[in-house]
Amino acid sequence: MKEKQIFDAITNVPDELVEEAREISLKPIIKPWKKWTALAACAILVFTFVFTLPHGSSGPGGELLSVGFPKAYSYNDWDAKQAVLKNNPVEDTFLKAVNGFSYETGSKLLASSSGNSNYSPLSLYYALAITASGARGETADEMLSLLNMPDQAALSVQCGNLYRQLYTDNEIGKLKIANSVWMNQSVPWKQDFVKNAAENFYASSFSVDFSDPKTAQAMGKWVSEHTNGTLEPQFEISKDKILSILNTVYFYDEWTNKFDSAKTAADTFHSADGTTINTDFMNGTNSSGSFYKGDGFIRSSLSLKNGGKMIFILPNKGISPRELLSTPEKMQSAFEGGEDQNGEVVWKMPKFDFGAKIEPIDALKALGIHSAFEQSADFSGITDQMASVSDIRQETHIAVDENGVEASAFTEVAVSTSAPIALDKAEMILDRPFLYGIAAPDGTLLFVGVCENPSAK
Amino acid sequence: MDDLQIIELYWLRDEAAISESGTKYGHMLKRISLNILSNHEDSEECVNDTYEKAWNTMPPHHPNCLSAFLGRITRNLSINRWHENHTKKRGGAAGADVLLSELSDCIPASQTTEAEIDLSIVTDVITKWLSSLSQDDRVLFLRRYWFGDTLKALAEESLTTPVKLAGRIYRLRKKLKETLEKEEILL
Repeated sequence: MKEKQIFDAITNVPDELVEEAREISLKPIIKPWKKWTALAACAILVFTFVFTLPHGSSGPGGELLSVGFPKAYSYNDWDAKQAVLKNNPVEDTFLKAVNGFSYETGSKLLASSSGNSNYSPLSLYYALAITASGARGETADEMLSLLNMPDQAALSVQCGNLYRQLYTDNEIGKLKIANSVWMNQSVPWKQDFVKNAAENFYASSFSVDFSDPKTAQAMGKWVSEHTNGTLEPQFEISKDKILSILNTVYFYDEWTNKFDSAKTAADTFHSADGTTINTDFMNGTNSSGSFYKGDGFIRSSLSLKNGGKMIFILPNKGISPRELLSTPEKMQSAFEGGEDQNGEVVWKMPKFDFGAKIEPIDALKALGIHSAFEQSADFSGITDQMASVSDIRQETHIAVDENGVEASAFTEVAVSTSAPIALDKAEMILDRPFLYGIAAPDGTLLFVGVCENPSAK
Repeated sequence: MDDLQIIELYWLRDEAAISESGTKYGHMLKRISLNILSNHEDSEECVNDTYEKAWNTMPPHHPNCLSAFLGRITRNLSINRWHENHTKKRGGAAGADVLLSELSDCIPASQTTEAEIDLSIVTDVITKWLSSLSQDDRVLFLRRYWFGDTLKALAEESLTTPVKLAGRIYRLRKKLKETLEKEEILL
C-alpha cells in the first residue's frame, strides 16, 4: 500500500525536523500582529528620561500610581496567547515604523562604534515614544517623524498593544518589560501624561526628591530588580532634575535545540587587529537548516523556544562587521537579504557575555531630532515648566551559552532647561568578528550587536 | 531531567528510565498514538510497548534525540496496530484512515507496476523537500503527518478555520507529489 510507504518514509525524517515541529507553534494566519508575538524573544530595554528645571520651581507634589504587569501565561497555554494577540492588534504600519527606525538608528549607532557593541532599537523606540507622548509642536513633529508615526495617540495605543503582546513570563522564557516615571515632588505635572504612561506603557509613578541620595538608590534598585540583577546603573542626585522615566526589559529564552556542553571546546578567535584569543566555542550541526548568502556575508539563525530567533551574520573574510552596518540599506540587507539556501549548517560559536554602552544623542540629531535638545523644546504635554532633553544613554548586557540567551538594556534620557547635548552546506564558524541580532520568526529585528572579542566582559 | 540523563538510566538498566520517559514524553507519545488509532485503550498499550522497546534497544542504541526516537517507535507500533485492526476489520474509523487517505495525494503518478523501493531514498527526498519549505509550512506538515494532529486542533492554533487549513495542507501534499515525481520516485 503506497500511502503506507509515504507514511513510513515520513516517520524517518531527521530528528531535527521532528524536534522543530514538536517545539515550534504554528504562526497565527490572521495578519499582522502575529509577527510581534515573537518579538518577545528579544528585547531588554531600560530608558530613563530625566527632565531638569531652573532652580526655585515649586508646585504640588505628584501622586503615587502603582501599575502591575499584564497577566502572564504558561508556555503551553496557546489559547491564552492567541487571546492576547486578538485583543491587542498591532498594525502592519507600526511594524514597518519600528523596523525603519531600527535600521536607521542601528546603522548610525553601531557603524561608528568600536569593540563589542550591543543595542536594542526597540528599547530606544519605547523610550522616545514615552517622551514624544508629552511633546508638542515642532518637538513632537520631529520625534514622531523619526518614530515614523503620524500622531501621538496612535503611537501610544500601538506601543501599548505591542507591550501586551510581547510580555512573556513563563517556565522557559521571560520578556519582562517595565516602565516607571519618577517625578519631582515640587513640580506640577500634566495628569494626562501620567495617565497615558500608565495605560499604554504600564508605567508606575513615584513622587520623589531628586536631591535625596535615597532617590538615586531607589532608582538603581528598581532597574536592577527589573533586569534580574544584570544591570546596576548609578544615578546621580540633582536639584535640577524634574523627571526621570525608566524602562526596563529583561529577556531570557532557551535555544530550541540546546548546544551539547560536552562538545564545547577551547579554540582560537581571530580579532580584527590580528591578535588571537583563546576562548570556549560551542559546537553543533543542524542537518537541515536555512542560511543566506549575500553581498559580503553569510547569515543563519538559531530558534528560541518562545518563538523568536537569534540571527548571526558572519562577514566574509576581509570584510568587517561595521562595513555591513554602514548604511541602513546595507544593514537591512545583512539582516534580511541574501540568497535563501537550505542544507547542513555547522555551528561553531563562541560563548560570550559582555556589557556595552551607547550614547545616541549625535545619532538622533543626525536623524533629524533637534528641537527636543534645544531650549525652545516644547514638552508642555508633560509640564508647563521649560524642559529639554540634555542627555541620553543606553547600557546593555548580553550573555550567550549552551542553553540560551539572556539580555538586558538601560537607556537614560536627561532633559534640562539649559543648552543640551540547493542542498548546500554552510559553516557558521564564528571565529572572527561577527554581527548578531535577536528577531521575530519573520525576521523583524529587535536587538543587534557586534562581537569583536567574545572573552571581553 | 534532561534527555542525556534519561538515556543514561536506560544504559544503567535503571527502571526509573521508564518513569522518567513517561513523565517527560508520555503525553506526547499518547497524542501520537491516539491520533493514529483513535482508541484510548490501544493507544495506551502502544505507549507502554514503546517503553519496552526502548528498554530493549538502549543499549546498544544511544539516540541523539530522545523525543524523536521514542515518538518514532510509538508511531511505528501504532500504525502497525492500526493495520492489524484494519485487516481484522476491528474497531471503527481511526485517525490513520484519514491520514493515509490524505497521503495518497502524494503518491507519484507512474505507469509501472509496484516495485520494491528503498524507503530511505524516499525519506531523503521528503527531507530535502521539507527543508525547502518555510518553517511554518514544514512544522504544519509534520504536525499533521508525523504527530497526526487533527485539522481542527491545527486550525485553532493558527487562528483559522479547518477548511482554510485543509486547503493549505492540500497544496503542500500536491507539492510533495510533484517533488517525488521530479525525483522519479516510484512507489
